[in-house]
Amino acid sequence: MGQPLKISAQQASALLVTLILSTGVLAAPSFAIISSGRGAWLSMLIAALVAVPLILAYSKLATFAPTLFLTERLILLVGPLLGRPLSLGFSLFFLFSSSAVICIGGTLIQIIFLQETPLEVIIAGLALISLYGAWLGPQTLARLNTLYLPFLSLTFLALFVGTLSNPHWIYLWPPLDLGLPAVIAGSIPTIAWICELSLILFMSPDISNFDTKSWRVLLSAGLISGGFFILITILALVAFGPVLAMYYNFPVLQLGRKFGTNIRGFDALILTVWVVGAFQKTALWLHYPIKEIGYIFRLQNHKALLPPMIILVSIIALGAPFNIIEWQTFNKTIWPSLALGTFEGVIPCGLILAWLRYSQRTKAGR
Amino acid sequence: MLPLRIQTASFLLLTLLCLIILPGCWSAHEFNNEFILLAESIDTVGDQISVTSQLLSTEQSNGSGNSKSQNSTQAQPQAQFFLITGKGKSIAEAVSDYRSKAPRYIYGGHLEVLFISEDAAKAGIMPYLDFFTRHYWSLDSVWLVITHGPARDMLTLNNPMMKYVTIGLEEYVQKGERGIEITTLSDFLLNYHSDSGTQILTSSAIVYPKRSKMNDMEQLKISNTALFCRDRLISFLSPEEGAYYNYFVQDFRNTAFPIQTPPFFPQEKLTVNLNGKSPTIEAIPTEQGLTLSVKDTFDFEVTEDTSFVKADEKYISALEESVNENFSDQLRELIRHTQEEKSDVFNVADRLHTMHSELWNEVKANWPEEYSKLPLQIEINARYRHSRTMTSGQGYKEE
Repeated sequence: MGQPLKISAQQASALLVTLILSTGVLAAPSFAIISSGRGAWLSMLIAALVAVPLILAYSKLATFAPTLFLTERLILLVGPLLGRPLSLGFSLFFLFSSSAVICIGGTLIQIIFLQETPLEVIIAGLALISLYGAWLGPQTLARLNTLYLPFLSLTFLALFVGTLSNPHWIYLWPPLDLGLPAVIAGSIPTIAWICELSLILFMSPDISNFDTKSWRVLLSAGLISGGFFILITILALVAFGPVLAMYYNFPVLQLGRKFGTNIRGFDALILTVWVVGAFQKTALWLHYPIKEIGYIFRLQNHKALLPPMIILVSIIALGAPFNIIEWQTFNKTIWPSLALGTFEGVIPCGLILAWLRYSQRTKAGR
Repeated sequence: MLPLRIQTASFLLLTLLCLIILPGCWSAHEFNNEFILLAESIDTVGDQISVTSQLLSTEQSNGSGNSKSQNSTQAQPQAQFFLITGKGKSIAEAVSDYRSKAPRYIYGGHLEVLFISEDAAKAGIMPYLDFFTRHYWSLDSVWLVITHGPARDMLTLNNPMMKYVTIGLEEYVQKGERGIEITTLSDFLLNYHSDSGTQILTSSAIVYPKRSKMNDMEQLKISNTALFCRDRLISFLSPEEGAYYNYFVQDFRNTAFPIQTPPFFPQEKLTVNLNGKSPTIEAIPTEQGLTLSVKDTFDFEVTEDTSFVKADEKYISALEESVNENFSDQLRELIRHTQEEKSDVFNVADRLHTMHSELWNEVKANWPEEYSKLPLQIEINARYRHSRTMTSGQGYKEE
């Protein structure tokens, strides 16, 4: 008996939580703390709330003709002349994002585990694992994720218990210490992180019984991720305070380094678990765009595109900045603007308008 | 029949082989081809920095080497501890120097304690600590100890019980000095980046035997008394003040203080064991302006034979009053000392920032001066806890 061809709504929701948290947990609190200091937790709360309308927009677009490929849906909404390039752009956006994750993941692994191993080798290893995941597809990844999520939750629980042995709650107040504009600025990278949920536009044909009521799938994934972002930011603040925490590029990972003399290297264990999540993320970001590109160019077997694409992604990853500080700048300023300015913010909002027009046209036709 | 096509199976096999073989082969070091770093000391010699490392060789020797059991008739396998010193104009140069002298790779992930000499600490320790905080080894929980005299001496302590200084320190803290928690690198960084930027670090000194006797050994004395402003050592608290400082900032379930209780033993001191929450100290707005307020409520018991304490309300009230006065005096003395040094070691600034941010904005530019002038208000509420089942001390009768 083979495995089912589709994944359930709950599996999709869990996959999306992993997609956001596996990398967001590392960097998102740092950006919020740098911008808004003691108000970082408020930035996270604002991010979670601001993301809700965008999540509902994705949900509406995903449940519109959910069995069709994204390209077909975009052709229905905006016509073939704009629909195909838009779909191709969407796919290339996620391919580029996966190369960014592979590069920064490789740099981090080199710093934490394998200081003397060349970055090229680590990136090649990560790319190969991602390729394997993309090859196997979402059904396998969803089952792996079911095994993985308890471990991810355990890392948060361990950090929670470890931090609460000596918390400094005073560092959570006053949240508007650096002013409201700083708090809002601190929330923008996290909004971009939560809005990675736009991948649902590609995923909907693979989800069974995905209908108009399935907005709950996306909303629950967004709110769970937002809740975890708030929690880990609070942990980083009460452990390090706003000033020390902003000096750490990965303050939540740093929590694992101060567990005491008897549990040295706990951060390495935590990072191992998170890297498995990042692998699932890159595998999904490779699988769906390549499947879509295969459809656009009418390939019989889209998997034939995987090897050349992974080479391309690896080359982009290797050619990109290799310094963690440069990556911080990229993740804090360039990527949120790129993502929210295009395929996570502006374009989905535009597509909602196109969908409204399409709905009115359909009603008038009837 | 294979469930996968040959091409797919070959591809997967190749991928797995790459994963197994490639990662780690560059970073691997054989266990028997490395030294393990346990403790390090930092001294300044002229304009240079001297870093001494206590290393552990992974092989065992038969009582030879640097071990102290050379006179032992029966050779026991012993771990080999030895020291290597490196010098340079910066910490990185000094570390690089001693590493070049070691014939093996030095693994520093087990570094337990960092001794820094008083002289080096007076000039500022952040340049040294920066090296450790940025390191990829998890060194945040390394103990940070400021030494009276040369730091290297701590690694050559002539005490057979403490030849491995880290284990010696741990045992000493656990058994010898109850209530002491040694400050870690992580603690230092947290306080260094706090609003006050001042703190107390652990200090150590060697107590040498007065007369040379067979059984006399050099002893390590540690206390939390090194007063820091930012990363510079500015002075030391007295050991008594250090004990009361611990009471403020650390878990004090095991804390015991010798105090004078005039109504009972005018000439002697009683030891009281405390139980309760740590005291709170904060700057609060009052009619006289900002005031430093200390509030403390705790239970105590007397560790000596308490048969003299009658179950009489008058007696117990007198004892409690005595403890209250004694505690207030000691705490006042400690806080006055920190005010004289303009060092807000209790981090009152952060609490003021949280609770009264507008007030904080007014005083933050000149906080050390403001702290030194704050009037002090101490409120102690000590309650005697009679843990025995008998109501008086006459419950037994010797035959």
